[in-house]
Amino acid sequence: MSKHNPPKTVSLSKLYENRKASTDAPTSIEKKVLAQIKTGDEKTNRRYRFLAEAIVGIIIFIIVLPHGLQVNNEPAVEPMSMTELLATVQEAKPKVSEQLVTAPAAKEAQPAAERSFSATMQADTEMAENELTITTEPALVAADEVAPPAVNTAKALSAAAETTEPLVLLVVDGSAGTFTDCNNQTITLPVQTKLTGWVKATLGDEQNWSLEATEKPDNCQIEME
Amino acid sequence: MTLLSSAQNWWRKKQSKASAEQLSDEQLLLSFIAETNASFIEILMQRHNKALFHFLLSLSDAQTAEDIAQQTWLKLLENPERYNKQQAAFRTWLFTVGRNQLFDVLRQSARWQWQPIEETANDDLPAYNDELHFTEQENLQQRFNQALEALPFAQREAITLQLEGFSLEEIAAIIGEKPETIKSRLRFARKNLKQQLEPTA
Repeated sequence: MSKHNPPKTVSLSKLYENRKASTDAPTSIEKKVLAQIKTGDEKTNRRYRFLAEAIVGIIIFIIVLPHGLQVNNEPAVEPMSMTELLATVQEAKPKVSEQLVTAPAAKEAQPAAERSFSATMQADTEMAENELTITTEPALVAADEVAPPAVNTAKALSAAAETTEPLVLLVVDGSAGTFTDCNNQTITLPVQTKLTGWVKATLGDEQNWSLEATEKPDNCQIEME
Repeated sequence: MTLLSSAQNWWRKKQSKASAEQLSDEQLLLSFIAETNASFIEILMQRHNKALFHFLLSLSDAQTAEDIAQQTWLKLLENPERYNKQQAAFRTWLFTVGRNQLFDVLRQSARWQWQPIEETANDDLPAYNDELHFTEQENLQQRFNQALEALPFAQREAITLQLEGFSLEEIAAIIGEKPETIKSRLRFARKNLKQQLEPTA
């Protein structure tokens, strides 16, 4: 038996591994590369933030601004054709008698404003005449505009005057010229009376009201107080 | 940012890194492309940076190796989509990029010249994949280091890559030569190392 131990050997791979183990890659490489990623992230974030802000800005510009312009510059109502205009004019006529009914209600809303119709009546009568005899434009204005209640009342009364149809009213306060019609609408006329009960109010040629006692209309449900 | 949200972020990153360590190189790169999370690259660097640096150091000096290793990783960050899983493993691709970068620098600085090798058939040459063993002796490691550095560039490159664990085909892909050429270089490298490191009678 041999006393010699076989000589120790080292493989090529082991020698290479030892060499590699003795050399460390500088940590600066990793630090710089990772720092680059973070910088890139920040740049990307900044880019995305800018992009998001730009998109929001554009959306606001697209949505909000045109609406703002429309409010200021564009009419909310589309322009009418001539046929529609004429139709509107035709419809405007019956509205006058409707306004006659609604006028007292409008007046009730402003009880403090003691309105004297006599001053405006003549001018308003002329206006109403213009509207009813139709030149297209003024009639359109009448149809589209929301006229103040006082004007409507005056128009209504003047329209009633033009038809010369007397109003049958119930005297509420003769000294104040306050009456009620069959629809229980309060009407004030520029006239004083001592009459009580039902009266027939007629507008004369000189635009003054004349009152005469009359019977309660058959179709009227209102009772005297 | 509140203290609580900082702690949550720290915990989330820790969890994410722990699970990322289970991923393959290719999965890590794909995850990085998807999320741009530094921890994926950090793991890849932990796995391969030392080997890459050592490979580059074997072919150049410390400063150049450091610069090139850094450039290689930065190039990867610039355009990670360039990696094609079908063509090569991540590690092979990384070393290819590193080698090409090194060659560019060496060519620019005129520090690299092709050394022609006598690559004729020689029956005395060891096999290209022989596991050589050397008798332990004084300064063996130091002599190995010197012998490796003394090898012609092409042989040194081939044997370093082989000792890094690359297959013949992978080395051929990194260097851009035919496998037969690589095989020849490996045999000559082995022969040279054997001559340098075997004890003389």
